[in-house]
Amino acid sequence: MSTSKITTALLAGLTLGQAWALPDPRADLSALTKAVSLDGIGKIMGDSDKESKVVYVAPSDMKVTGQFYQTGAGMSCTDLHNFRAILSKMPETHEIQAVYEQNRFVSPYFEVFYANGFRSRDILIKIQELRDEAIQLREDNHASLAEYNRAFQTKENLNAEYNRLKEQFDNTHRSMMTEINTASSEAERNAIRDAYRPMIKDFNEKISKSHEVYVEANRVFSEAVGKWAFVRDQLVYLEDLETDMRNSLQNYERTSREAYDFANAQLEIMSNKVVGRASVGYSLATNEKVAILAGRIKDAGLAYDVRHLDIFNVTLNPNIVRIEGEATVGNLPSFNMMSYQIDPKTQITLGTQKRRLKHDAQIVEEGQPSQPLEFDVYEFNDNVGSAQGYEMPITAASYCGQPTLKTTYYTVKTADGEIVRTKVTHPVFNENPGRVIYSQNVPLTYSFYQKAEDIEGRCELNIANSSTYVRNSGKKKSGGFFNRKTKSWDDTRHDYKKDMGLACDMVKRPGGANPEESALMNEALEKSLYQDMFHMFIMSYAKEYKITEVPHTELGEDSRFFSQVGAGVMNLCGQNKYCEFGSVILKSMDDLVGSRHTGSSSHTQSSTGKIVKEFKLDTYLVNHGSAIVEMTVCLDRQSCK
Amino acid sequence: MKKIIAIIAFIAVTGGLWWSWSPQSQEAAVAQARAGVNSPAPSPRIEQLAQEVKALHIPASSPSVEAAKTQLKEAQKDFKAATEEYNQKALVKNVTSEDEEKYQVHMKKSHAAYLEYQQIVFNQLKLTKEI
Repeated sequence: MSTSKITTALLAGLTLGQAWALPDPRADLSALTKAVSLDGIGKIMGDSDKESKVVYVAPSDMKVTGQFYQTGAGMSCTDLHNFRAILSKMPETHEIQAVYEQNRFVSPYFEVFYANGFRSRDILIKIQELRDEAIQLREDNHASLAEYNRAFQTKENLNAEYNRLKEQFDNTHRSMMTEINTASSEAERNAIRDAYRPMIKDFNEKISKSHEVYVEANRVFSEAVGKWAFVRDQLVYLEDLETDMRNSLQNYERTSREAYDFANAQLEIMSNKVVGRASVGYSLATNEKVAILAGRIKDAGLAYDVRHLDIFNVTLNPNIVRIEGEATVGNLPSFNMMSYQIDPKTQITLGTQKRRLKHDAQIVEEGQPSQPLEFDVYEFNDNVGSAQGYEMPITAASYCGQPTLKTTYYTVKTADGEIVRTKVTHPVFNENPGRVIYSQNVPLTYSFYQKAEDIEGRCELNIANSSTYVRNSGKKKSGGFFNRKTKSWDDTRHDYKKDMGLACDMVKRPGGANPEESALMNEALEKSLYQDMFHMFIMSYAKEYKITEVPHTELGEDSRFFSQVGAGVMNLCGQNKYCEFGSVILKSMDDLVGSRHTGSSSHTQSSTGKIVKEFKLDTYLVNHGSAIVEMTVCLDRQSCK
Repeated sequence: MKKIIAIIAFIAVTGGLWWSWSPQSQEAAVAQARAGVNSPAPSPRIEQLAQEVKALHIPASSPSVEAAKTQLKEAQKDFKAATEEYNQKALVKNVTSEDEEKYQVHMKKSHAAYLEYQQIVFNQLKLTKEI
């Protein structure tokens, strides 16, 4: 038994605790099950009162079929079938050779997903021929190319030599100019000129020689260019032709894809025409099963009172919704609207209502009569999800049949005599008059009361201490109260007593199946009691409080239990969500007087009071059940059965 | 004044030979080498390949394709709007024969626009008549 389940139980017990005979899954029903068949009945359980001989029938999985209603004068699938063929027609195997040889058009699907390969084959071959031709041209003119490359390299080297000499000269020039500019007399400047004269002479000689070499290299290069120019121009022609073929390949692919996209858009519009509605519903009521089981029990000569299990908080559990009938084929868009998707993160609450909850705790103030504590809560409408009707629009695509995949093997003999065999998977649309047009699984969870251990004890919370503590905590911490992740429960409990005067004493504790389970149950019980007291305080004395949904993993242990359980706050946060109290603003004395003591002026009494709760309860816990309703609608209702 | 004197002195020393030439760029050298010479015509073999390439050439688009595309887009837009209008009525069980006829008109117009576009496009792709 999990801690969370027990804490939930205790809270419910503390809020609503009464002494009832309740369903108890632990009850022994062997005498009944040995004598009576449970086929088709589903889940049953016994009663906490062993003498009562009551058996409860719980809701279980079921299948329901619905009805299709046509909208308008009548739907013809001819247009849709025709366009589906236009989009995705494939040739017969005996036609493929002619399609290949004569470049015959078949369909956008065929062009994009199959023919692209052999249509581009001729272009690819041509590209290879152009490359081969270029290679041959280079080989045939190898000598000219080598000569051109040599002359080219010689000129490159001379350019490098020129640049090196120029850099040297620039450096020399700068040095000389600097020295001349800083010289103090003409005699000194003449000396500098004399010093540089040999270097300048050396440069002059090198430059002169370099120029002679360069003139010769330029002549050789010009001759080489003349010989190579013809070949080079032919290679440029070939490169241009190859570029043309490459562009043609891209143009073919882009154009055929664009045509396919336009056809798809056309089909999608045609597919989305609403032609009718699928209507289907269910009820979790077990009346029929109760009657059947009662009859069998009577026939077996036994005496059991058969009842349906009272359930509440019936909610959809979208986490396990299965999406049925999704029909995406290859790269075609989905052809149906049979199912709708629910975001797995979505928690669907079928209905909530606000009501005033009178708590059985008392406000105890000196000199004043004690009075019951009360506050507003939001809670689920009971059994809202136990019976639901669904009506979904049915589109032409769904009405006119879903595609199936077909595999075809095409064999083509190419112009070179090569045999090419290709496996192609493509959609085929077949009419099926009895086909499913709507399918939806509705997984439901529900709650029911179940007998648990008795408990007895007393809790007390000091209003003045708690007010001070909350105000101070609110200023000090922005992350909310009780957001401590490291303290043990014993330390936490000690702090609550010190800070808020909050303490609970247990007289009669629940027992578990073993010491470990007992310890878990008792800690969970204590936490739920402490939380219950704190929630009562907050909901009565806080003017505003912000409740924020936070991921479970971000909460400290204390925050988790404060968030998990609570008659009022839990419902405010929603089931299975974790909340964090933050930014609590306590009511001023005026607010308190106005809301709690109309006509009174007892200011000081409010700040010295206590919330006291004594409990002696025949407790129960809230257990959970589930049922999956499989709803199906066929064009021909008989074919769904 | 000192600088002018210095420069004159420098020119006197160097004789100005350094600036008498500089290397050509390779492009300029090639251009010079080919000056006055016309580009040769493609060889017969390349001419033959060019004809084959021309036969396989697929253009990026054409005015007729673009015109058909524009017409199709417009027709599909109208058809989509007509379908949405029809569905609104179908969802509240209020479809009349006039609604059906109106839908059919847009559907057929869009359908015809697609077929015309398809014909032009696959001609451009050098595909022959349908099987």
